[in-house]
Parts: sequence; C-alpha cells; structure tokens
Amino acid sequence: MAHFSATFSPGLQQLVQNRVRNSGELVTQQTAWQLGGYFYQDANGVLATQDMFGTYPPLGPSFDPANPPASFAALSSSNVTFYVNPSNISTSSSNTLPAVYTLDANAALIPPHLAAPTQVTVRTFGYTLFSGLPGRLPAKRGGRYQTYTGSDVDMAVPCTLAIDPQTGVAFYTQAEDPNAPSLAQEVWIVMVY
Amino acid sequence: MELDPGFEIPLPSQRYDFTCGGFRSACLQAPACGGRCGCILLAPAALAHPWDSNPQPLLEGPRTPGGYFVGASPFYSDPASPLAWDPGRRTLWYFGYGWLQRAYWTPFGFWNDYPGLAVQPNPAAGLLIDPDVHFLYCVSGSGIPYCVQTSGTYPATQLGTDPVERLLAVDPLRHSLFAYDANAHGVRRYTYETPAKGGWTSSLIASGLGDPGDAGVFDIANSVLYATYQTADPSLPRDPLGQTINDPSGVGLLAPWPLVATSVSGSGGPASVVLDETGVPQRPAVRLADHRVFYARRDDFDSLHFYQPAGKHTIETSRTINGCSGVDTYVDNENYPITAPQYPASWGDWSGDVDAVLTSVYR
Repeated sequence: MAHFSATFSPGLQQLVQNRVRNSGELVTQQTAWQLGGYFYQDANGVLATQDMFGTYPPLGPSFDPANPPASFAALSSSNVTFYVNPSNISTSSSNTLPAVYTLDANAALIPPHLAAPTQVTVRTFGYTLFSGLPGRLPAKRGGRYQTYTGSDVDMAVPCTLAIDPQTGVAFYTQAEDPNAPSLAQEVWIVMVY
Repeated sequence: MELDPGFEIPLPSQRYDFTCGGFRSACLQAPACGGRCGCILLAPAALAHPWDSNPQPLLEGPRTPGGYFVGASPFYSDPASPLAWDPGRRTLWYFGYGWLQRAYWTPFGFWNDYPGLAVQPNPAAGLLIDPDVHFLYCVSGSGIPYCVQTSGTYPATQLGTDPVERLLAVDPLRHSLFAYDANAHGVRRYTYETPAKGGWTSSLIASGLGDPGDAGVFDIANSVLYATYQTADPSLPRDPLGQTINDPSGVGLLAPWPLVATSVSGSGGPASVVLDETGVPQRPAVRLADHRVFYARRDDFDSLHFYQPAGKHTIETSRTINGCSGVDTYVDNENYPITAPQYPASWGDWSGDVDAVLTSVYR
C-alpha cells in the first residue's frame, strides 16, 4: 500500500476508500565493490586502456600494481610522452567509464535507494461495514480503477474524496488515464449515488 | 462491552435499543425483520443506492427527469485536486486548471464558476469546509491560512502570520481549524473569537511531528484529531496496542507514518499519542457513533485496521477487518459511458421545460 484515503458515509454506513497499491518496488543497497577495469591516467587526468605502440598494453586481472614491469617506471616521469589511439581513451564511445564506477579507491558505499515500482493500481470504492456476517450486505462492487505500468507509474496519484453526510453521495477525482495523457492532465470528478 | 468488529453502532440521531427479537444476534438479522421491532436498519435510501450503482462523472448543465441533457459535459479537475463539499449549499469546491472552482447544485443540475478570491489558494495544502457556517479554508502560496466566506464577494480573512503546510481538519462544533506548521513540526489550532477579543487566534497544540501524509479527521465528540505524519518524535507516548515498523533499508527509505491522536479537550492528558505505525501516508476516517478510526497499514492488501478508544462501555480496541479491498469494476478512462446521473430526490427535482431553465440560468 502506497497511499490510503478514506471517509465515512454515515447515511450509508459505508467506508469509501481510495487505495494506491504499488508492486515491484525494490530497495537496492551496495554491499561490495567490483573492479571496473584498468586504465592509464596522464597528468591531465585522461584515462586510456593502452598506448599506441604496445609499450603499455591493456591490463587485466593478472596485473599486480605492487610489482609492475620495469618499463612502468617511465610512467612517473614528466618528460616522457605517450601516444594513444583516440579509441583507447576512456571518454570514447567504446571505452566510456560507466558512471557507477569511481576512481576513488576509498569512496563510500552508495546509499540504499528505492527503485520505482513496476506497477501501480489506483482504486476507489465503497465498502459497507455490514458485510462479513450472516444477514449483512456483501462487499460492494463498483470500484473505479486504473493500472499504471512502466514509465506510466509516475502518473498514478491518489484520488481525493468527499461525502454528502445526509445522502451518502460520494465525490472523488477520477484516476488519470495513461492512454490519454494529452487531456491537459485534467480528470473528471466522479459522483456515486 | 466489547463489540464484534463488524457490529454497527447507530448514529446518535438514530435509535437502536438492541431489542430486535430480544437478542443481539437477532438484531444482526435486522434487515430481514424490517425494523418493525424498533431496531434501526440501514436507511432505506442507502439500500436503494448502493455503491455499485454506476459511478458517473459530475455533469454540468440542466437535465430533465428522463435524463435528457442540454449541453451537459463533465467537470474537469486537476488529478490530485482536493475536494471540499459544503452540504448546506450543495457546493463542491475543487481545483481545475490550477484555479479554485465550485460546482453548485441547482434544482436542474450542477453548474460551475470561478469565484474570484483575493487569495490564490495552494492546492497542495488542501481545502476544508466548516459546514454550518459555510467557511472555506485554504492556504495561500506563501503558506498563510485563510478563511473564505462563501457568499457575496467571498471575503477572505487571514487567520495568522505563521505559515502552514497543510490543512488537517475542521472542528465544526467549535469552528476551529487544524493545520500543520512545518516550521514548528506540529499542529496549529485556529479558533475564532469576537473582534473585541482579537478575532482569529492560533496556538500550537502538538509538536514533534513530521510532515503529514494527507489531511486528517476530527472526532467532534471526543475532541481528538487523527492524522498520519511521516515521523513522530520518539519522546511521544505510544499506545501499547500499536506496532513499530522497521525500515528494511535501515536508512529511512520507508517512513513509519505513525497514526497520531491529538487531543484538544484540555483534559490534562498527553496532547499527542502515537496509536500505530502504519508505513502509509494516508487520510484516516472516523465513525462518530463509536469513535472508531479506520486506517491502513502498509501490508493491508486486502484488509483494513481500526482503532477504537476506550469508552463508557467499551475497552480500547485495535483490530483488523479482512476482505475489504474492493473490486476493480469500472476502468477510468475517457471512454467511460456517461448515462443520466442519479441525484438524491431530497435535493429537489425539476420538471419544467428546457427553455425556461436556460432563461433562468443565463439571465
């Protein structure tokens, strides 16, 4: 249940309810790190996977940063120039470093976050409080509803309710139609009597 | 005496002496007895107009008793517009296209207009009606609460200078307004005094509360405001019947949304008590006859909860009602078939000719 709204109709002894129900919500929490890849970084912060002439080849899981090849000593010299094919620079389309990765080895874990639901249902209905026991009225049909999936879940908003206490006339705002979002986002006011 | 969760208490205006057949169990069969023994049944009108009558959009325009419409078209509102119904004037206040509008009943149907107010209300803060005096409460864009007299030129009176975030409820008996003060993290009560005493005054009656999830509801007999807030200060007293919700994420992604009862009776007890942690932002409902407060918890997929405070003949109760999640029947869309709306006979009917109506309306 994502939102609940109710109002009591004394004339009808009914509880008018609007329920917004989510499904498919997911809490995501980072619990570990995953190595994103090996890059060479120049003095300007540009990242590359390898140099152009093979002196500095692509690095893999077997690379031990604590015991690099002797040729790697040149990497710390500011007088040495390296040539890199543009396609091996991390900002190229084929080597873009995903945003989820960081160059900070001491970065904190990403805080948990709640992923959007995959489906949201909005339902407005009346429920007689006389149901459930012999001689009482059954649960009421007549609920109006709308279901939203995918990117349409953002359109789901709770409906609001109003009751005429003397007659039990119920007013509520209609749930928006995901198939007709072009109506200036306006909805009907629905009346039940 | 503790009553069955589904057992009904009549409204104060009704008589129900539990003498049907001499037994309470027989009284549960009251619809079959026809009420001849003196027990109170559902109002006949209620049985004649159950919820499963076909819901219809509120239509503007005259109609004949046969359902003939002249230029009738649905009223459009903003999707999350608050609705405030003034039963005495049979007027529904709402927001359409961002503007405050009203749909008002005439014997020949509903009509609407845009009353020109001196203040532009903020829809997100809600709308409330004090039905006996026909006051409409709203909040300006800067958070200042106003009382609008719904007649004449709609004079608007500023209720105070402290900004409020949302209107919570009205006490129609004492003509008080309750609103959430975000700066004070609490509930502010506005009451009207005579001009000699300063007119409208406000006081903070509760604190330690997070943002409200929706409007609240007021039990006029017990003078208790019920509402849910995103959080409640741990120092607030808690009802032992309530649950505590643990956030599975551990970082506050899912708020507890406690249901809080705030007493304004001034009896000396604690002002606010956390009744239950619901996990759901919501607007609860109260049944005045037995003071039951109906609300939902996060896992109430097919059920409902109610809390009933201790009374003269009842002990404090908190229970679940199962099987009341409704049925999907009519899908909401613009192709919904519109038929003649059913209006209560007590609202009056019109059987004149259309031309006379139009002349009356447009003159």
